[in-house]
Amino acid sequence: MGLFDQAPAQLLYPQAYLAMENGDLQQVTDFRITLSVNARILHLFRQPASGLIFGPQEARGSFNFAIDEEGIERRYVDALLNRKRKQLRAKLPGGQILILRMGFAAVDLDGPLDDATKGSCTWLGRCEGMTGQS
Amino acid sequence: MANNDPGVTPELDLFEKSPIARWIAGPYDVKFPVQSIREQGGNRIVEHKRPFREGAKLDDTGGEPFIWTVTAVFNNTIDEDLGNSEPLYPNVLNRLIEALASVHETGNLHLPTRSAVRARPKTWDRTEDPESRDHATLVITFIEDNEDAVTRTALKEPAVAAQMNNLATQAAFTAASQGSFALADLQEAAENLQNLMQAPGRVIDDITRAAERVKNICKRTLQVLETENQRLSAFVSAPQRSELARQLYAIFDLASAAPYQKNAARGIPPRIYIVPGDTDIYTLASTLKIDPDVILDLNFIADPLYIRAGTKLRIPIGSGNAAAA
Repeated sequence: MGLFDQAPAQLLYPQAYLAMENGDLQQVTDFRITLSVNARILHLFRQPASGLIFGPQEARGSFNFAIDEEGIERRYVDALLNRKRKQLRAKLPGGQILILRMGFAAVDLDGPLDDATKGSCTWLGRCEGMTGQS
Repeated sequence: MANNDPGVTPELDLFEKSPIARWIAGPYDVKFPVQSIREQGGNRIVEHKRPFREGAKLDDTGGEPFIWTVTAVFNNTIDEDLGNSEPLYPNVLNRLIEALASVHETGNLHLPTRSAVRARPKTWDRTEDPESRDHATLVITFIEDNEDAVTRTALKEPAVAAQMNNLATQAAFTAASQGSFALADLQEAAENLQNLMQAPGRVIDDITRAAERVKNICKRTLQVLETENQRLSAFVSAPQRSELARQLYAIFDLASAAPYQKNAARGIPPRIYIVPGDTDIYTLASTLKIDPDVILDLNFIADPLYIRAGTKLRIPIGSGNAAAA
């Protein structure tokens, strides 16, 4: 590269969003998603590590949120207690959306006296697909 | 661990060099990937118990058939090259089950641990579960078939007197044609045993000794054969399946039967009699009401005129008095 050549534009690393029901979850501060096909290695008598055994596809994850003065934005507790299945959409930078079908496994609430009330949801389910995949 | 022979490096991973598992029966020839193999065998032991004697006298009436339990797996990610032109799951799996179910005859089972054996499939158990996608496990139980032709003549025990020499000659011929052993001493021992069996009124101990000699030669030769086979082809060969080994086993069995056949020819099987006090053959014969020649035929007695107390003698069953053990 020459001394006066224009440097390539710096890429931006925008934030991801999580959406449930009819819109983005504004209170969510961070989330984690694990997709798995539960693969394990297959050893044969004549050949070790000869293949793979693929298990069922599954997804699991969690997200943390902080509750503002208007209250929890979705009825996580109701969904947990009534074993409701929900669709969760993880909007990734670049326009890709991971579509997940899930149910809540646990909801944690944390209310310190000197800070905002926070919560955490743990969920299990499966990935139904990904839109906008290149 | 200390290795006493520094010149020998153990061969690594013999499993990888073992043959591919294969089932050949009727029109089917299916190669399949094996995960594990289990082999079961045993001896048919008959227990004879009698009152006031601890334990049991055991008779070994032969070996149980070998049973192999093979766990095969079918999964299209397997890259072991089996030479099949169609996918393992479900095509090869279905074809193997069809071969197991539709052919009702003895087939050739190639096992990685045993090479080829003659066997029949007894049961199979196919499992597919949701935790393993597009994957099946098939557990097959095969039983070895000795393909014995059960006819009237097969059930009749072969006569030592008629066959011993013949078999030894055949074994010597097989050994010579394989270039492995010269079995002249076996032929000589077998001929000696056959002569003893044919001679009238010979001492049973002579026959037992001659039979032991034949058996020892067979045992020695089989040991050499086994060591040689192991050296040549690791663990994939089964020495008991060679023609020479089979002939040697047959001679061994026949020699084991020799003393009993000689007794059987007398019409009365003997039992053991413990001499209660010092005696001589004539006194003993008159006490037991048996011909002295019969006692001498059945036993090796160093000095017939002085038989010590406690000497164990074979006497025909039904003879003797209450002192008989």
